[in-house]
This record gives sequence, structure tokens and C-alpha cells, in this order.
Amino acid sequence: MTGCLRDRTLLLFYYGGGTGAQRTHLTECEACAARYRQLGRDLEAISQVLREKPPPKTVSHRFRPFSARWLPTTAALALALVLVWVSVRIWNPSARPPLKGTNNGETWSLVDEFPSNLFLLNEAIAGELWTEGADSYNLAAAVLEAERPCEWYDLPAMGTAESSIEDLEISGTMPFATCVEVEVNPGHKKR
Amino acid sequence: MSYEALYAAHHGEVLRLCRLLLANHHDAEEIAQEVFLKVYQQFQNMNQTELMMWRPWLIRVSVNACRDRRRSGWWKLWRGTNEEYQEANYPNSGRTPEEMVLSRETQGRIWRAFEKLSARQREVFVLRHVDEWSTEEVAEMLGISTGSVKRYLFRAARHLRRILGDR
Repeated sequence: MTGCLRDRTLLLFYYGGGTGAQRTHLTECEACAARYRQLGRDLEAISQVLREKPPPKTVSHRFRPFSARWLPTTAALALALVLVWVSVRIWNPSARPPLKGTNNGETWSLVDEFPSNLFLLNEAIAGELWTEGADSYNLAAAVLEAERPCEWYDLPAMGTAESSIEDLEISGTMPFATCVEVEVNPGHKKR
Repeated sequence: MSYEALYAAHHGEVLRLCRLLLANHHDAEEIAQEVFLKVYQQFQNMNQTELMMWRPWLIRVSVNACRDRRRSGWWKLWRGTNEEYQEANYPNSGRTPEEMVLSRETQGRIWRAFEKLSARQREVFVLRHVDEWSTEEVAEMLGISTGSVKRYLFRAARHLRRILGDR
């Protein structure tokens, strides 16, 4: 074997590694043998330092909340908080922000109500379009079939006169009408 | 062997091991107390005629207790990584002032380098070199192969020796 052993080879040898050729070299080469002995002394010196009581430290148990290792945890926590906030805003009407210049509760209750009324009326109109005689009476009947009690207003006369369903039936003319939903009182008899 | 004799014989060694593995004297004292509480409980449950190899048992329990402490989230959070050794307080052993200065610097570097080792490298190096267990005994106590012990030792020693090489 030519050339001296490297430090890492000597260290491997110290801990029981190395090959037969390296061992032979170590016994024959005085320089490597001296380095090997120095390695042993170094490790013993290190062990001796560690056996002694360590010197006191300048204590600085610093709290470092923004160190890189806490970043994923912080990000996950922030995301969870945002998700909770969003879900509360969506599913809890009372937590919605007030609309400008309105009473918050009333406004949101109307918004909540509006789509269902709209769809009922749409269904009624759609049903009417597929039946013969698309006159206003059938339209009214279709709306009534939807079991939404309401009062009927002639759009041309809107704001000037009200007419009941019987009046409309008698007149037989109702180019356009609109149904305004009313509360059902206990005495009201449904069809 | 009485519990008191056991405590007197091994408390210093357990405390030093914990101090080296945790690098914090207060934590080391706490863990050493926990370990000797376990010793006491074990002692109560033991048959008096039963022979027990206390030293390996103590080392194993201490290493595991230190490992548990290191894994604790709060310990990681509060464990200061910016602690600096006060070099003025190093022991001098009748050396000349120049040697003492050199020695203090070197010792400080050794301690700092030691604290940068991984937990496993520290455990293996301390058991093998400071407590002077054999490689096979270290492997048995830590529950790893002798090959792994040698690998950890090699890395730890290479890292620590670089410090001495810079003298």
C-alpha cells in the first residue's frame, strides 16, 4: 500500500473499521501511527472536557415565535382561523355585516325569503305557459296552486285600487297582475 | 444494596449524562430526580434476593427520559439556543496564562461543537467516550446495531475533532 492514511480512514480504523492492508500500513508507517495516537489523545481530551462540569452560560432563553421552524404551524393556525371566520360569516345570518342605511335583521330576512318566493312564482308561470289559454286567471290559479296565499293587484291600477280574486274573475280582463304574499290568518280558508 | 447506596453510587453519573444530553443543568436535575424516583419504585417492587444490573438499567432509563424531554414541544420552544459559555469560568489546572487562554477557547469551542451534534450522536459519543462503555454495550443500551453506533461515533468524532484541528 502506498501513501499515508487519511484522517477519516484513521477514524474509521479507531472505531473498528478499515481493511487488513490499512492495518498493515498503520503498523509499518511511523507517521500514520503517530497521527493515530494523536487521534486517540484528541478524543480523550474531548471526553475529559465533557466530563468536567460545563461552565455557566449567559442565559438567554429567548422566545422566538417567528423562527422558521414555527412557520408551518403558524400558517396552519392562521388558515384554520380564516376558515372558521368564513364559515361563521356564511352560516350564521346574525353575523353578517349590516347593509348600508338598513335595519340589518330585516334586510337579511328579506334576502333569505326572496329566492324561495321567486322560485315558487317561476314554477307557477312555467306551469301556466304549458297549459292552454294562457290568461291571467289561469296564471292566478297556478299561483294559488302553489299554496301561497296572496292578494292580487292589477298592475295598471297598482296603487289606486285593490281587487279580490272574485272581482278579477268577473271582469275577465287582467293583462298583468302581481301577487303579493300575505300572512295566513287562522280564519282564512284555503282552496 | 440499599436505595441510598445506589443513589450515592450513581446519582452523579446520571446527572452528568442528563446534563450532557440536555445541555441544561436545571432540566438535567429534574430528569435525574425522575430517574431516581423510578429507581425507588423499581426497588420497592423487586425481590430482595434478585440481582439487578443497575448501571445499564439506569443509563437506559436516563437516556429515554432525556429523549422524552427533548421531544416535548414546550421544551423545544423554551430551550435557549443562544446560550453562550462564559469562558472566564473555565477551570484551569495550574497552567500558564497563555495555556489557560488557549484552553478556555478550545474548551468553549468543544462545548459549542458538542451541542451542535444530533441527539443520537451525542448519546452515542457520551456513552462510548465519557462513560466508557464498549460499542456493543452502547448498542444494546440504545437498542441499535453496533454498525449504527460506529457510524454515529465516526460522525460525532469527526465533527468534534475539527474543532481541535483549528487550534
